[in-house]
Amino acid sequence: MRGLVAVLFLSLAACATPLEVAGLRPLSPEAYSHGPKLGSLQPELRWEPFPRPTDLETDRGGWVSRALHVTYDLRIWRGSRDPYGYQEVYPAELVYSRTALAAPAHTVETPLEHDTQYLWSVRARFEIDGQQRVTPWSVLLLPGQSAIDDPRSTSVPSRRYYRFATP
Amino acid sequence: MLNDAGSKLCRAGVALVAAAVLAGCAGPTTTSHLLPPPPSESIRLGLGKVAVASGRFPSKFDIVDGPAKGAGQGAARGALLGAAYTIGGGALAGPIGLVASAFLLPVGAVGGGIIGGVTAESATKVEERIAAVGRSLSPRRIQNDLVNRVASTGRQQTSGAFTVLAERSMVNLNGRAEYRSLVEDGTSTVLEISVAELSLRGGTAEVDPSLHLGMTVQTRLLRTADDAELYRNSLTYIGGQGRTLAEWLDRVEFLRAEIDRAAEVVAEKIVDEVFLLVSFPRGGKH
Repeated sequence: MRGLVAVLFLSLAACATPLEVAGLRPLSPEAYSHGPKLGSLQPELRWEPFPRPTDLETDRGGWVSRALHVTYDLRIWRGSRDPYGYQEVYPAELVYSRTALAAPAHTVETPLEHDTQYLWSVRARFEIDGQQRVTPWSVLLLPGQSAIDDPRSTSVPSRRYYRFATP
Repeated sequence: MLNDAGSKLCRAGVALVAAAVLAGCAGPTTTSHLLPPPPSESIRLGLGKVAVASGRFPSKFDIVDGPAKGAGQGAARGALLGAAYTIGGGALAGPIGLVASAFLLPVGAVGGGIIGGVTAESATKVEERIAAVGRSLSPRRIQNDLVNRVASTGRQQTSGAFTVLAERSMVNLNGRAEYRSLVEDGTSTVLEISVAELSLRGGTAEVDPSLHLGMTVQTRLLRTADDAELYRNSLTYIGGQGRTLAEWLDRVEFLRAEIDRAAEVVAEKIVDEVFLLVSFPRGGKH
């Protein structure tokens, strides 16, 4: 029983700190399993720029240093309850999409719906040797997640995009 | 002593409930496979003109773990569910509730069995519905639509030249696709798309489960000069909208819309993986 209690406390603690992510980390709103409730129907979303210092460090002389004309793609989906229960939100409908944003931040230009769960994700778009390339869409990483949640899962669409809720 | 026994029972109950919940929540069987790394840049640079081709297509639309067929199956599933709910409800009430639920287990199972037996539809009726859904869809057309969508997404998202090959135009006498003749018109690569599975999937534990669209698509990248396979992957779309078989049949347009969405999601993922995606450097943050 003590083990169960410990697991419960660890789970609660995990809810309070931002999660690990795969891809460009969101700066606002931060990466939580339960999306934070935002104050606006047209929120400003911010994320870390590409390339990140770690990308340059670990890829000295590799493709990262050849990436030119970096822009960002952003997507927002209306969330619905996940059909299988063990994940909470499913990207039911793509409601907002922007390609080739110049900066790692964007204020949503059309109002979203009230009191609704949304999922969002970003990726970098750039050129390498004259060819268009992209990084993977960013997703949450949860401890103990199943194979279906792995960023390289064969299952689509991902259930692990970043989350927020509207007021 | 009683506390000790209660605690053990409680643990057993929690484990049983957890197992039941996991079994109920598992949804469709998904392979644990991860996608292979995208093709290397040296492969991508040599792709040239790409023909998108339709590979093998499924012979029919399937229902996997669908509704119970007849009173017998309904009673069996209802009994299991009744037992699980009895134990689960008891476990929520603590050790005493769990002990009580152990005694009430047969009652829950019998009650569930009766309800399941009464509510399950006849095997004939379920089979008729499955056949009706199957008749309303054409897997071959779905695959051709997907091929067209991949080509269209490729043109939009990349600077590559994409054409669509006429369906099965490259099949030899043995039924195998051969693309070498495409070299003559300057097509150096074929992207072969096969819808390997198209199904509505449910959970086995329920009498009339909510069914979700499943679409598994296999992709092969082939060099026309020697039919060498340069890359392959398999993607499975798992739908978010669940309906019972009768509901899907009543609103077949919803099913078509869901298949359309699956094709859009899968086509974009194929183009991303094969032509655009680069993984973050190893050792970096994903």
